[in-house]
Order: sequence, then C-alpha cells, then structure tokens
Amino acid sequence: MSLFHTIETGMRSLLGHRLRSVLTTLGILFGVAAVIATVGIGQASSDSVAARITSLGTNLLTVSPGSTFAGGVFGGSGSGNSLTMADVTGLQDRQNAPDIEAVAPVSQGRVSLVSASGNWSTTVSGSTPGWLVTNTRTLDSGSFINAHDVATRAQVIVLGSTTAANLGAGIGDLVKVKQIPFEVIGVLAPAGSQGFGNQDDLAVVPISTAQDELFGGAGTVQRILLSATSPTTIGSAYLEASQILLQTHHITDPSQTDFTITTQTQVLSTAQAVTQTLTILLASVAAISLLVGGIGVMNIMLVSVTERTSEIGLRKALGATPGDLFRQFVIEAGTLTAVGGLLGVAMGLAVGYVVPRAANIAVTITPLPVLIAVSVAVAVGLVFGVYPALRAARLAPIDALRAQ
Amino acid sequence: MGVAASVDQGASGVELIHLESVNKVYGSGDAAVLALQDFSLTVSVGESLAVMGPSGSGKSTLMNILGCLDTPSSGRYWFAGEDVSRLNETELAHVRNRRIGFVFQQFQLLPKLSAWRNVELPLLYRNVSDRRRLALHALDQVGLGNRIDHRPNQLSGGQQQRVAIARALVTDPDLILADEPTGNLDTASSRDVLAVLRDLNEQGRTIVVITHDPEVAPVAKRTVHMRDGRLVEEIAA
Repeated sequence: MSLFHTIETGMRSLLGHRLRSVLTTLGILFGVAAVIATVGIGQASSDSVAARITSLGTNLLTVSPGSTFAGGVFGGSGSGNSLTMADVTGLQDRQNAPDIEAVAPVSQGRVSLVSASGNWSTTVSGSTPGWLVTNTRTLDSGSFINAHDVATRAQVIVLGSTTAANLGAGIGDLVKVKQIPFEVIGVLAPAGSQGFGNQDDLAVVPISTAQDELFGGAGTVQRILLSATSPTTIGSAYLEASQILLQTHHITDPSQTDFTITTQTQVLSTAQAVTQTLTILLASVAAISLLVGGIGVMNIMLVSVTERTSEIGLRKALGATPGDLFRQFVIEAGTLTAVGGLLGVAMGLAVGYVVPRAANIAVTITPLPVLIAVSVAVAVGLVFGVYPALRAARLAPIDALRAQ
Repeated sequence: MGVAASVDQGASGVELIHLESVNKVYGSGDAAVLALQDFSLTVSVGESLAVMGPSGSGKSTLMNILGCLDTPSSGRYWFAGEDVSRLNETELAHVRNRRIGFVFQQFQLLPKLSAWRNVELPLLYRNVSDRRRLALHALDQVGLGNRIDHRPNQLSGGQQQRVAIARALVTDPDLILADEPTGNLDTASSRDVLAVLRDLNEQGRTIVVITHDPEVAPVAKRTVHMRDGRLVEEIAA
C-alpha cells in the first residue's frame, strides 16, 4: 500500500473516533505545554536573578564572619561574630589596600518604622558612607549618612523609595524605630525590584547608632561590603582584604580563617545553579506528564487494535501485509502525538504570552526546549505506537476474521 | 502461467488447486486436534466446487488453507503451479491480494465506507491507479451499478453480499472462495447471490463454495463431502 493511502486510511480511522482522538491528543498537548511553560518560567527567573546580582555591581566583595574549620567541621558562613569595626578601619587603609575603593560595614535587622501617618516593617541597615558606593546606589533627594553622623551616633535615617512612600515620610520628618526618633535626611533613587526582595524597601542608619540603640553588639558587624576600584581589580582587592583580615585577626595559618570573602561572580554562579536545579525539577515533572500522555496514546491504540480486530482480519484477507498494518497503526499513533505536540507548542507559547501580563511572572521561551518537547512528543508517540502496531501486524487473519 | 488465458475456456483440465496429503494440526500434545488428515484435492481452472460437511468436519480449516490464510502443518499445496505451502506471511498476503477473492458469511464490509470504497479496498494494497473505474465495473457485474455511494447499512443483506462479491471480483482473481455465502441471507437474497456466483462460473471464473446447506451445493457442478477432516464422498453434478 502506498504511503499516501496508508496515511489516508489512518486519518479516516482517527476521524471516525473523534472524541477519543481529541482526548488522547490532550494528554500530549498538556505535557508539551507544561514542559515549554515551566522551562520558560525557570529560564526567566534565572535571567532575572542574574540581572539583579549584576545590578548590585560586579565590583562588589562581601566579607562574612565564620567559615572556620573547627576540627574539620565547617562552621557555616555568618555563624561567627568575628568581624569588628577594627577590621573596617584596617580595610579602609589606602596604603595596604590600594584596590579597595570603598568599605561599608553592615549590621541589619527587620524592624518596624513608625511615622506620623503610618507604620511599616522593613530591613534597617546600620552602615557608613561607603554603603552608597558599594551598593551602587544614588540619592533621589536629601543627603546620605556622613562620617560625622557615624562618629556622633546621629539619629538620622535614609529611606528607600518604597519605604518612604509607605510611611508617607519625606526629608525632615521624624520616623520612630524601636521608640527612638530618627530624622529622615535622604531618600534613595529607585533601583527597581527584580527576583528576590525589593531593593527599594529598606532604610539605612549610621552603624554606630544601629549598634548602640537598635541591634546591640557594639563593635561587631554582620558583614562588610567592599567595592574594588574596577571589575579588573577584584582579584587583587580580594587578596588585599584577606591579607589585612588575617593580620587584624592574628591568624597565621590561612586555612584557619574565621571569615569568608565572596565575589558577585561566585554569588551569581551559585544563584544560577540553584535556579537551574529548580528548572530541571519543574521540567522533569512536566516531562513525566508527557510520558503519561504517551502511555495514554498506547492505551488508546491497544483499544483500537482490539476493537478493529475483524477489520484487521479483513484487510489481511484482502492482501494487506503485516508491514502495511504496522505502518497504518504507527502513523495513527504518530499523528495523535504530532498534533498534540504542535497544539502543545501553541498553548505553551500562549502561556508565555498571557502569564507575564496576567500574573507578573516573567516567562522566557527559547527555541531549544520547544524543539525538544515536540521531538520527545513525537518520539513518545512512535515508541508507544509500535507495540499496538506490532499486535495488529501479527494478528492471524483467521482469528481476526472470526472475532465478531 | 497460462491461467488467466484459460479462464474463458471453462473447466480446462489445467490445475488451479492441487492439495497433496495435507495435514493440519491445531494445538499440541494431548490437546492437539487434527483438523485435516491426509487431505488431497484437485480443482481445475474454470471449475465450480462445493465443499459440504457438518460443522467440525474441517471445512473451515480447508477454506483457510485454500485461501492462503493459513499454511498446512504438513503436505503440499500448489496454487496455479506455485508451491504456496511454504510461503511467509507477506508472500501469502500477495497471493491473496492478486489471485484470490473472498466472500464471507458475515459480508465483512467496512461500515464507514461507501459501496465502491469497500470494493476498492483490495486495489489499495496493490497500487492500482484507476481504482474507481474498476470498482464501478465490478459493482455493475453484480447488478449494483446504481448503489455505488450507499453505505452497507443502507443496503439489504443480499445487496451487501453482492458488494462483497464485487470486492472479490475487482482484482480479477484466479479463484473466488465463498464461505457460507448465504448463511446470513433469506431465501430470495440467497437465490440472487447464488445466481451471481453461477454467472461468474459460467463466464469462466473458478469458484469454490464452502457450505453445510444442501440448497447451496447445486450452485457448483461438482460437490465433495467432508467428515472428520477427510474427504468422504465425491459427487459429480
């Protein structure tokens, strides 16, 4: 039988069982659409994490306390209290650290701010003038904390734009933090919110005031932010910082450090690894639904072979070879999955178009996952179509004719 | 082969079917059933033969072997001079397609296809191009030239069986093999169908009818009787 007639015969039989064909196709459709949509969402969140981390400044280095190997046990970064204001002073030494442009200690906590018109809970960081440089931020209005504010433990506060808006506070207003009044001296220019957290919902106070009045822990800081003079000097800035800290901490064995310095590149690759894992996880779940769809195709094809036993017998008696029948059933299964796959692509693309507009979730659809999903769908159809097709091809004509 | 050329000459003495000591066993061990035992039969080109016997006598088995739907367990079967007892499934399919036309008790028409589409079916398996013309010609031969677009459920039983005969004829086969062709028909329809078969034989077509019905046997010029897988009696009409 010519391929054309085999296809024609297959199509006739699929159209003869319209509802069944549509339902079988749906299984593949949703599987393919799910793969495309989840990979698209994963890709988009990975991109946005990367964009956000990059926007923090590629010159940034972060010093965290801890990470000591105590008897071979990794303490975990941030677990110690080893960073002090003395370290900050040491790192600010232009002589020893020519490649470090700015230094900003950070001690932060989540607290409630109360203004005349409302209250708002946000992250308050105690820091120094270097915060603005290391975080690559600018002011929208007013001024930032200066060295004098830090030295005098001034009760002044700089607000992120979202925080300022939510508190209804502007320059010169008073905002209470833990019952202590702070004067708003500046509002930061918006940085936009991407991925995790909102960079515009925060507040900064002098580190000395934060230590004394808000979070305690006089003299110690949670983190120290450093910015290298340029992206190319990150390596030497890293070495200088670790040299200085080893000295101030009186550590002679570099394997016994009680601090960790991370660069944005490391953070970036870690974050990307995390989102990639999530994407793979989501895509696997979607792929399983594709597999289930494929089993649905096989199920329907087996039903179809059983139901059409006498037709198969007749076709054999009239001269259909085992090859003719095998091809006819494989083509039927392949058509179900190919149609399901193509509609699934359309639906995946529709999800990619609608979801970002409706739910503020970014979706980035690239050609590769689409191609893979469709090829897998068609492969699934052929693989799961082969067994029923073999059953049809192997039916003995007499037995098949007798089945009524 | 010379078979096609001799079709018009009636019973010519040229052998179309030659079974020699054919045995057919179903199952194995204690459950084995010998459906045909040392069965030999010869049918000449242009002959008409009725095979009679009660159910269980082995006539269905004989029909399957004659129709190349099954192969003998032992013995030889020559069809138009070719030993078909050792062919594989694909080769048997080609023999069925080119040389044998089947008529079944249950008609075996595909319900979703019109009469001429049903008749066209065997031609699809041999890539013939003017299928519609051939199908219409075959329907004409059985007197259904005015029913070509009817579906099986729009036709009477006798008409359906005539469509099936047209389907058997359309490939211009060496043999028409009919298995209880009137088993599902009333008396009047049976007469029609048998008349069509007799006409075909008179035009030189070789016909083998398998039946348990004594009313049917006279359609053939020669009748054989079967019992327990053996040939028991031969009657020349």
